[in-house]
Amino acid sequence: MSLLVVEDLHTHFVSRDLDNRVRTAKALNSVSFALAEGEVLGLVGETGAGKSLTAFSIMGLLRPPARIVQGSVRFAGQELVGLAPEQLNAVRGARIAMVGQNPRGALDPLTRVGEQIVRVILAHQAVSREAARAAALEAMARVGIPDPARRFRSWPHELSGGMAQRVLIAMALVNRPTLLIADEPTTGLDVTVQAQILDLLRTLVREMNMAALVITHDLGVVAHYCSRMAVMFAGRIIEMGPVEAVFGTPRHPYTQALIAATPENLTLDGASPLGGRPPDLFALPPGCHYVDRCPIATEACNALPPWRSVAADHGALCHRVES
Amino acid sequence: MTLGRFLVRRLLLVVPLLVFIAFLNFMLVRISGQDPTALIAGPTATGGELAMVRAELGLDRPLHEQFLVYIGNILTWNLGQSWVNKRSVLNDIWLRLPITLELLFWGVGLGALIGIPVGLRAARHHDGRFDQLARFLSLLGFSTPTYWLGLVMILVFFYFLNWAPPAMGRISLLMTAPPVVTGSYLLDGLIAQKWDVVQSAFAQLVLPVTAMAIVAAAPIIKQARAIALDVQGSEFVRSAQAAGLSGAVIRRMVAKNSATPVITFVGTELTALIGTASVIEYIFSWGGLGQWGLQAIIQADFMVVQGYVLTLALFSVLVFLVIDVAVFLLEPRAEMHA
Repeated sequence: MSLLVVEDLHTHFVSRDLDNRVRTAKALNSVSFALAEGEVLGLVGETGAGKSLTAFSIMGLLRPPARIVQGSVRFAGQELVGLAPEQLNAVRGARIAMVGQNPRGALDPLTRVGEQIVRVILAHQAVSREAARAAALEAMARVGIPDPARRFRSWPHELSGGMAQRVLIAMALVNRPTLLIADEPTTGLDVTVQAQILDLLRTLVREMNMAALVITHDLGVVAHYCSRMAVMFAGRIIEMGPVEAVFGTPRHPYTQALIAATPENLTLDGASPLGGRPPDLFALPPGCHYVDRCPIATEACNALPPWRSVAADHGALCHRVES
Repeated sequence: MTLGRFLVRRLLLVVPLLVFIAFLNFMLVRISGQDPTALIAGPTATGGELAMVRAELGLDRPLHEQFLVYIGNILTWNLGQSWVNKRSVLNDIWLRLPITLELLFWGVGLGALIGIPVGLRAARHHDGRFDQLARFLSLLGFSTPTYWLGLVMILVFFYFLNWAPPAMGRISLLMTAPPVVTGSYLLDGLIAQKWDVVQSAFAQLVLPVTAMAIVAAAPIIKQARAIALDVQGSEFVRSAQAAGLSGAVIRRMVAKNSATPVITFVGTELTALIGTASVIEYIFSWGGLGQWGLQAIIQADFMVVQGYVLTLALFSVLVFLVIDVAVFLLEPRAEMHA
């Protein structure tokens, strides 16, 4: 059974312009995917494709004017869309945890880091302060923080980015969630630290048998750490499948261009950077969102593209793909 | 850096600042185009008499000499005397400062007591009913002229409703003032345990303090709301929500992280509203520093004006020092910037 089922999720930014006309930025347009227990799914796409917004929609962290206008998010059979914050809080931080892209900004600057971990434990477990403190110290040791007893009393501003991310990982895992959402967990870190953090995450995900949704724009991360991947473009998942299949035989023209643009595929006589810009979310084309940049687009692409499966678990959202 | 070293450094910075303020103030008074000699000597004075008065006040000497004499006098705690009534400036400051501070502290204190919770709550219900009401009230407070507010309050609460005592000073005219300890009739009455004095002083305080509080609360609401909105939008609040922390815990977190900028703002209000306090003092015949200073400016009473401005400057410096210490104690990051 799937742990997480996201179905036909539409998240829009609805605001009014100076003439009081309603303006809608369609940031997510029918996002659907499922995640099995223990599975690691990579979500890739360029900036603004809707990766982080998908995570925020799942976690109920949208802020006005962003809101879910349609669709459903089921976690372990429970519908999360429309839940009151108090009910969501029984899930968030306890059964679904999240690690973000700016670790130093994600810590409360006026609370010592150990206390912040204790706070998360006490929010979800009926244990004494002492027990929570012991659990926090244990979690800090587990994520490789040297001298946890001393670090417990550190202020966030005293930590390096990598150390802060370890604290946040400790905080995310301390209630033993079954799903971890890692939203570009290494973006703000030094290159040398990035690999350490990714390896730590992979080890912990395996040891604790968690499912994980890894959001990244780095195809290398997906290739190394995920079993399945989904490619997002302008608020839609345009291709999804096992990592080897998508890298080996990418079906969607955008995925093909994306993979051709990775540093591994660059040659001295020709880089092939992605041309064009992402479409305007206020005025999306009626059919395929990639139509303006697609080298093989036809007249048919102005209509909504169908999901074409090329294998049992591999498919693309494209008119030009043969089933 | 320890608090002690921090204080010493800050206090050392105060000295050149005060000298600069004294200089600026001295020059401004002298180039203001007002001539006190004619006012003092009277309309029938001859040229010789004017020159005599000028020499008596030292105004015939070169400016730099006048300034050096002035600074020298300040260093020996001599702020000179009023040219109009010959009273010692320093004595009058000691007498009148507590009177103004009483109005200012109660007014801004009450304004903060109302403004901060309203601002925080408005931010929590961003764009909701409460927020809209708070924004409207804040705008209303902003756009109400202080003198008008004071007069209308007297008209309504004294003249029409007769709820408040007449706006004639800080205590009923029939009452004997308590022995001076703090300079505030309310506190001195409490110390002397004269309950009728306390009651009268309190009744006299209500209208001017309310006027002051309204003027102070408007910007505090606006700022506290903006600061809390900013904190709410920060990433650590989102990550606290992602961790499933309860609304109460997050509210506390927002309040705590808003504290430093809000305290700083209330402190600046305290110094900025001294001008407003002067107007309120005038309307309610309060007899404090502001009323005294305004009078001196009109009468070109240079020594009093200089003493008045210097006192305000020193007050501002002290307020900012207290704010800095508070921030230093509240902020774990402060030592990096000090």
